Amino acid sequence: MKYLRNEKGVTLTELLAALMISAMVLGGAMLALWQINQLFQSSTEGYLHRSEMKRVSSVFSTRLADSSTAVYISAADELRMLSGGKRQAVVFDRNSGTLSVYDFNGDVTQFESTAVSRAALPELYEQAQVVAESISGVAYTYANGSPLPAAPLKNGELISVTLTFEGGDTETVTVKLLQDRTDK
Amino acid sequence: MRRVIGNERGGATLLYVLMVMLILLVLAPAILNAVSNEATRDVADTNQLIATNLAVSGMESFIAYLDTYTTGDRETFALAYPGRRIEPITYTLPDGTHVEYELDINPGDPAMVKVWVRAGQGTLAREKEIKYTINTATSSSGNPYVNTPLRIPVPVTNTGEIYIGGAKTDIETNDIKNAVGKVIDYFTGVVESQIDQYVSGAVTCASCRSVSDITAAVDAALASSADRPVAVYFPNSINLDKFIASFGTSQSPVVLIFNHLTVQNDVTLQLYGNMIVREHLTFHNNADITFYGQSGGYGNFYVGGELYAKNNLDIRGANLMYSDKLTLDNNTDIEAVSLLTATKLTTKNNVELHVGLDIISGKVEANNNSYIKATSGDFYVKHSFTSKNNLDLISGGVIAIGGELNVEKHDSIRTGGGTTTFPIISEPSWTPDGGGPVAEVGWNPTRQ
Repeated sequence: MKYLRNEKGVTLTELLAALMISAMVLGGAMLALWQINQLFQSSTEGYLHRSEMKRVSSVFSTRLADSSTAVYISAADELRMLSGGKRQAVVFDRNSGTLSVYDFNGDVTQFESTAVSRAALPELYEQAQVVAESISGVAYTYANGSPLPAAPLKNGELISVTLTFEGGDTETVTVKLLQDRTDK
Repeated sequence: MRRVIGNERGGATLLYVLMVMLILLVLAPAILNAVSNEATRDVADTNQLIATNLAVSGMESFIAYLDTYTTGDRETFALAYPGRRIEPITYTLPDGTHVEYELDINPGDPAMVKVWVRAGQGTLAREKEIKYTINTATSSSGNPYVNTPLRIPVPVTNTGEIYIGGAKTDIETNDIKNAVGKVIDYFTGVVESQIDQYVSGAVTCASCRSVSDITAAVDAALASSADRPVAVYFPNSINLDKFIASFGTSQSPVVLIFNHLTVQNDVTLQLYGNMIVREHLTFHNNADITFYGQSGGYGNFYVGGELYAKNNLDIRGANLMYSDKLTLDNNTDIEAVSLLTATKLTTKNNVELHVGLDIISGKVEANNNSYIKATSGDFYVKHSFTSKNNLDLISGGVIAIGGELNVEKHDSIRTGGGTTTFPIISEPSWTPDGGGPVAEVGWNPTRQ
């Protein structure tokens, strides 16, 4: 009761000093929180980006390693792969930056033909599966960097795929085609 | 410490604590959700990659083992594969990934070979299965065939002996005709397919008629395209005379494709790449053609129709030289890795053919002073071989003629010292009348 009746307060100077100190402390705390949040976001985005790059490259790693024949169609930014009886085509669309995998329903001649492309014969390309939407370039070469020929690759060749993502990051994966030929 | 614990000004601190909790409450689920989903997917992707690579490696190892087969029962050989694992084996990779691996072979003809791999554990585990069938039939009877990749050493024989599968023999048999016919058909198909492929991807120069036109077209194609080799197609019938030209480099090989080409007099051409003439090619006088790039698979010279050389033709460095018909009149010297003439090879006066591996032809007529040498390979003729005067025929492997063989008494025919693709080999049942033909079998691994 004694405290309730106590009419002693603080001076205006003390009140202003207290408010100023509180504002500084709160401001500092908010700034620290904002920076921590930014750090989190940056770290998360970096992780997701690296994860995306790894995922896209693993698409090539798993599919090419399982393929006995590959045909590179440079004019169409397309790599066709034969895994068992199943033919697939990885097509890069430069305009949209999209990398997609299609089931390729052409015959052997069409599979190996450089004249066939998704633009020319879209009916051969079915079941589109978008692998990535943030690619600015895809380059296919031999592992030593020399360009791939137009002819089919079918003797366990080492193929390097270099993916350039928006922002300039690159990811290179080198894969050996399945060697399933025997001379005997 | 007591001051901190005993501090009763909890209200102000509580405010800060509540603010931090509120912010974390909003952000934490989103961050954790995103990161944990990606992490989970990364692990699953890695497991899929491990499973695929191990399964592919397992199957490749098995197929490489099949390549070590020489003789004996094929099924027994396949079943004896040391890497066979009927029951899955389990092990842990250095990065801690748990792996189960199985390679099973179900006997039969064809036998089924299965490689199965499971990488990882729980819901993130991923599996990969690869199945192949292989032929396991082993037969010592049937039609002979030409097994191109299989080369068997052949011992040196005395001059005048014709060696086929271990014996001097009557080689006029339909089986040989069929066998050589098959290999001609095969290579003709390969060449035609390659020609179609090159033409479909070629830059066409419809206005080209001279060497300077051709040079300009090739330079323009090299400058405008990153493709290597660059193929340039000349659809016109072209007639060239008196020139020295060079096309292509090791970095920029070139494929020149003509429809119909006539080369008149005094010509020197150097080409790093391939040359294709879809119809007929005629050389008149003094042509010197040099190919480069054999080691890179180039140097191929294809003529879909007849290649006719009149006087003084020199061809060097060719890889596979293919033509439907090859007629060489006077003073011709050809160096190539392989020479294949689908219908007929005619040599008239002073012709030398220096071929590293095989010479294969539908029919051969050698007239005056022919030196024909398949240094390390075989000499196959589907139909007849006729020599009229002064022949020197050398084959490092075997000579196989499907039809009639007519040679003069002064002709020289020698075999051996090289290898053959004609696997009529000595077996326990071998008899000196031609050996035991081997059936047309092979592992033929086929993906299921």
